[in-house]
Amino acid sequence: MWRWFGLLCCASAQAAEFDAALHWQSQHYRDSTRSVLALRTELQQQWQGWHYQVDTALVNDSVIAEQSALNNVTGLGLRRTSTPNYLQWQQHFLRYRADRLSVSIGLQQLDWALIDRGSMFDVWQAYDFTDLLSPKALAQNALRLQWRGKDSNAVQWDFIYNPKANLSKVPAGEFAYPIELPSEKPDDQWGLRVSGNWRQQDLAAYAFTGINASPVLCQASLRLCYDSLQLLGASWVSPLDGSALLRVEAGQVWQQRSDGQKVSQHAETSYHQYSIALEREWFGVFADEDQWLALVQWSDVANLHTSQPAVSQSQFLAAPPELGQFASRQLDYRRLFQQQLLGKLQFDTDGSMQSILALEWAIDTANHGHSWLLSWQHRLADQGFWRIEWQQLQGKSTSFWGQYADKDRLQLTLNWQF
Amino acid sequence: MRLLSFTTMSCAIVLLTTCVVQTFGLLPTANAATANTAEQIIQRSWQLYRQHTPAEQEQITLQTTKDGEATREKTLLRWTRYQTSSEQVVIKFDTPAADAGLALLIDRTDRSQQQMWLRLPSWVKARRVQGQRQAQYFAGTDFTFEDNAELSGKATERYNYRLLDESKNGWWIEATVKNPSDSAYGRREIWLDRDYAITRIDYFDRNLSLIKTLQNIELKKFPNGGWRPDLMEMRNQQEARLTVLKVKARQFDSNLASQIFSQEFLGD
Repeated sequence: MWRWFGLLCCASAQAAEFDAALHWQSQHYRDSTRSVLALRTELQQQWQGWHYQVDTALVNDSVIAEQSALNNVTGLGLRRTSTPNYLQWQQHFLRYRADRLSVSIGLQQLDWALIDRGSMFDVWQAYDFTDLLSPKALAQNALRLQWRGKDSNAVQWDFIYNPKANLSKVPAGEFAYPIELPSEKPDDQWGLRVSGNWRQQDLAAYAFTGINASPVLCQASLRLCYDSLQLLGASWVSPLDGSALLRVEAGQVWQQRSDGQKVSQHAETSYHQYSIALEREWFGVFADEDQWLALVQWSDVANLHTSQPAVSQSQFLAAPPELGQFASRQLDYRRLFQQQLLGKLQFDTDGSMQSILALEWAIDTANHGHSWLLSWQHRLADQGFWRIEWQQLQGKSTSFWGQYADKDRLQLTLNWQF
Repeated sequence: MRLLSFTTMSCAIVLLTTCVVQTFGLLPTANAATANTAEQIIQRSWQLYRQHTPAEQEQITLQTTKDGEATREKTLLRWTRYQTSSEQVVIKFDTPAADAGLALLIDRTDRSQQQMWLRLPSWVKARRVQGQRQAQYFAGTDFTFEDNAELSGKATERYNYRLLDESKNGWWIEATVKNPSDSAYGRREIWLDRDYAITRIDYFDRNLSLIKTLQNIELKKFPNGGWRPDLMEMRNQQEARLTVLKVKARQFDSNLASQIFSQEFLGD
């Protein structure tokens, strides 16, 4: 890590900073392995109210390397992939921050989600589903204007315009499609969020029009399509007793197929959705300084008819007609299941983030599928950490998780910052 | 003789009346008077601290040493904005690499409803923290979340103050919280010098055992009465640990962007 601080020397803060991290991941499935090596760099330059940031990742993925080699041999029918070593621009933006107004332009992470996973307001982020079980958020090219009142309880406005949406990347390796699926051209998107904090309550209202960043399969053309999507919603965060927190999201969604096909039996569909999350912390349960965090979240959606989400199509691409009804009930992996119960139990042995044990689960109660993730992360000196994870997928073969029931995996991760 | 008797009788009547009135709480007692004085001293101290600037930013080095272990060093930035009787504080860790991204926002706009948001490096975004979390040590140091909130101003209305001693060097004051759920401490003892600068605080738990001692070793004083500690040392007797907080650079700035004091900024 290199930093050049001119901080506080002049009328305003200025600093330059360069961080680099090496990230290695090894995944072991029942009958295959995958390794990912990534060199991530982050460059920030700040001068007075200006902030310039470039984040990149140089990635080597063994699965993509294998597929790339396979394509070169056969060249027929198989998905074409990028080269085994590739450079990702993760963020590249310029921001000006005045007293109350912040303006940023460029490739940037945009996140409106309030709850941890499956947020209906996570509309901006496309996802890299190359590793289906650990999707990574992708940045969007956007213009963002944020205005904030002088007082902490004043109303805040957040306007985002995204002229050309970045699209999600479909799974590779264990979860890959057998054939190439070209994508349609994306549309522009915009959204407005108005939020405030009053009497310890965080309240926000959302309006969005754009695309559903989770791709669906246009079966007629065998292309990845992106439904257009409009959203109106509101969220509320409220402290309960001493250490509990309640988060609620609710909204109405309108969704249309971009190719004019029907969404299920409807050319246009609308539905309402809500999520309730309860979070609580405990301290000193077994030892003086241990810390526990428990999170339980329930999400449900009514009157839902969505297109077939592409990320769960791997085994049903050529599904027989009788599975059509099932396929239409396969829900949007990125944002919601029809009914899902999410949870997390985290244990920090001494409250210093040195060693953290966590159990996370996602249960699709409507289709009877579930995912369990047990992880242990331990800090190595002050420069990095290693983590070991065991993920198990179970359920009926007609459920999202159940169709991958033989894809349990053990994953080792080493992250070193320098 | 008659005059003496009258004087004696008058004194006796005054004494009796005073006793009766005091017994039934009809007049402020001598103790109450000193309590007011103690509270005024604390209020004056923070008034002088705050009047110096509407906002400031500091570059800070933290060193933590536990008995038998190597010293660990961290660097952080702290932004503070003062309002009439409140303040907002943002802390962001810069090094070591594993702590980069650790950030805390303290909003005491309404001190009766203080709010905090914490972002850990492994979290995608900041979470609101409250209640029991305030008694926990922050970032492996000897400063709890509650301590961090009170480094830039004390909510004096939440405490009862009592003057323990006064000398030519300053004051020694005891602070006990009115509502026990507002603090993890049973009692604090505060030392101030004659310039109203706080030089030392002893923190006691609810069993009134000494937990730790904060000493403001390098005090910077300004012509208008303002004061700032440039070197703070928190010696934790219970944990056998020492945290030294050194202000490497400080800038008084009346134009700190409101955007800094936001949950979004913690994740930037």
